[in-house]
Amino acid sequence: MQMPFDALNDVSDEALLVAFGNGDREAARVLTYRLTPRVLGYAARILKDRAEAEDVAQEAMLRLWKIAPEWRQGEAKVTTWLYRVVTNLCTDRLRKARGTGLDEIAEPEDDRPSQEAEIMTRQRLSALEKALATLPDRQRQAVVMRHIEGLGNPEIAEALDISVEAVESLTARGKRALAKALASERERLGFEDDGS
Amino acid sequence: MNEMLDALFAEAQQTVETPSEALMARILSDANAEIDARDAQEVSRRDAQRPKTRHPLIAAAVAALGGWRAVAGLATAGVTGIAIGLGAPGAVTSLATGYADTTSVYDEAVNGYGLDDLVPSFYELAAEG
Repeated sequence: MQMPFDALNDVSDEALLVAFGNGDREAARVLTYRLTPRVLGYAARILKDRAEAEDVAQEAMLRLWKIAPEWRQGEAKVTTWLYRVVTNLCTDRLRKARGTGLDEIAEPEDDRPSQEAEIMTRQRLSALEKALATLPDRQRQAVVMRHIEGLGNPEIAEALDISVEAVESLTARGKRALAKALASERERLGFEDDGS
Repeated sequence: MNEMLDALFAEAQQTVETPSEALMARILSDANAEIDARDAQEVSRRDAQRPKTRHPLIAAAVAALGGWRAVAGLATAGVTGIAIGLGAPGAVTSLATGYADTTSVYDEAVNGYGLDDLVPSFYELAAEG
């Protein structure tokens, strides 16, 4: 999806949200194009279900639209607020889904012949997703936000409503657990065994 | 091991979830519906705050009488008249009904003035029947 280039692209999320709160439909359009991919990507990595992730993305954005008129400027970043909402929505869905065989993870579709590198990339991503799925919810959320979404620890702390130290602890434990889960797949995933 | 993880994370960062057009349309539709709902709320709030308009006939009548202050004065006078009527002081009743005879308590001796002082031709009219 190509993001339309226009003057509003340089405007901050917060300014756009305030403009939307004042009835600016164009601001809504720019925010939708700017934020939805991030919201959807994070939800999809946490939920492992595209349809559920789309529902969560829509719900999170709806909550953003509803809070816009009361948005208190300077208190929180719009993206941090969204990550928090998405985290909570995902946690609710994971809790509901637990016990109904949630951990079925779809294998990547290898039916069409493609280049070796692409297949390897997909295998690696699939392995990472499987390993992520073995982590407890909070660890998974913290690791995804830190290492894939690229958020800073203070932002993650705000999104998860915990201290920065707790975030550091969660991400460190998460990474150790991931490394352990992926240890046996080093060679299959094309990594040289350097003995580290 | 960390290198492997870092490489995997880097690859994961490259994969961007592309929202479907349908999802974008749903989200934009929610946004527009939210603005519409807020606009509707604003209109109803303004309507509630606006002073109620009166029937044009009543407004014209009030204006003709000199505005609400004059109408209030008239209303006060009217209520006072009703109060006097209901209270019915004796003197007013007698004057209004023309009840009088020579033995009446409304005698000059009692009241200081007689009915014919107020209505000089009253007895003549009464005599004619």
